[in-house]
Amino acid sequence: MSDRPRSLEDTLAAMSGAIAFPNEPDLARAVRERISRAPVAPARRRRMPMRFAVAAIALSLVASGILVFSPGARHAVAGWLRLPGIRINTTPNPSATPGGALHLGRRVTLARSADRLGAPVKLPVGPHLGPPDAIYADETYPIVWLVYRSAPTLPAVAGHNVGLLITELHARSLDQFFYKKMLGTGTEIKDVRIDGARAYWIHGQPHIIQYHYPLGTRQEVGRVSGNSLIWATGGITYRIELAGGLREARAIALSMR
Amino acid sequence: MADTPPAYARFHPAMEPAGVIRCINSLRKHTSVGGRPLDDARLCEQARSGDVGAYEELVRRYQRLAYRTAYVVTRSAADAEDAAQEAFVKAYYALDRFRPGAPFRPWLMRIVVNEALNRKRAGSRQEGLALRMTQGRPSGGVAPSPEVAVLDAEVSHVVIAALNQMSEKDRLVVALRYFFELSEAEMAQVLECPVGTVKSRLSRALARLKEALPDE
Repeated sequence: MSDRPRSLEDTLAAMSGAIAFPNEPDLARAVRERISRAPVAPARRRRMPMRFAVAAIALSLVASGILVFSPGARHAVAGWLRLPGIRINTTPNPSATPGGALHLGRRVTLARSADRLGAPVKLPVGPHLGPPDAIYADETYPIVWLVYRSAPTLPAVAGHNVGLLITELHARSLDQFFYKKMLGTGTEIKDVRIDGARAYWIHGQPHIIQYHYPLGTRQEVGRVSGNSLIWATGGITYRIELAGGLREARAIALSMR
Repeated sequence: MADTPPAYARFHPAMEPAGVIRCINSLRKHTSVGGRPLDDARLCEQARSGDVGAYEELVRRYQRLAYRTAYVVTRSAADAEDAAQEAFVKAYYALDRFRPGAPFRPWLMRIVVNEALNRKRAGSRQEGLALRMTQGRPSGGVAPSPEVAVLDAEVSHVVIAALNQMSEKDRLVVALRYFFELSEAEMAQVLECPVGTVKSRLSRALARLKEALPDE
């Protein structure tokens, strides 16, 4: 080794083996325990045909509460309705803190959000809607949120200063769902169509929405949700949450490009 | 074959003999083929097929790097452990989005860095530990002359003190390049930016580090 003075870069490189990091814990065992407990089995996900994985996930309606269904939805309940990434349950007394955090991940650009979603992110276009005020994406899962601030034409929804929240997500298997919607006795669900795709309009008494990632990290986080329209097309599930009615939600949905 | 037991035979010393054999066979399956270590791509493929043991081997392979990276950001042993563990779990569930054949290490590191930055932003524990140098000589390499060794030790302590004063993002970019020896291409994947941006971020971080160093 030369005795010449080192550059800063050389000094840093020479320091690499001499930094006193704390001893790392045995993460392998803890990680194994956690992933062994989780209900999702990668093998089953992998074997699933792609078009099936893209197009379907559980929307399970458990009739423990009283719901008002359209005839179409009532028929579908008997055969298990399915939408990718979202599961709907009923419960007699769903509860959550009004105005609970939206848990929107990390703020990103539109280009980055498409990278996160793994598909182009659709934006609504219309006379009353400009570009979203903010775009967020989850750091691990393919979920993107478009946030529009409340305005006279977009009343605040569910205790937030948000007038419109659009969620776009890509669920990859029948076992995976990111959201769980808990519907009480005063919440209605209606079977509708968006561009030919089956959609569900959930309205009436506010319902509860929970993050339900496979990791279980946010399972208990719930918030009161406003009216919402959910549908799946082209492998992506869309969810529109707003204070307005079905007509307005459908117009926004149909304008998304 | 050496008489000393292989490392994998020491993980469960209290197991019954049959259990030990099963354990050894399982670990052999996940650590080598024909005596050669399985590469990351093979382990990833096995893990994607539902082989938890294969993923456990990947965790074992990268837990030190993951933990140390998280520690550089959070400077909290507890937050670093949480971030690294959470990152490994998230990576497992995201495996089917991991492109087959792509390098696993930078992909994992991106998740680790995001988890660590989240915890740093949340400021959940704030232990405020600092990076510091060991008292001994770095392992590996040829020993410098005594004069240079003393000088190096002094310089290293000054540099590490300056690094501790820097933002976590500057500290991270320096650590990834020089302490963990990631290539600029790997750093681009970890930091989710073009290689050119990595170069400029690194250059700016080094400039700030130089400015923070006392004059001679």
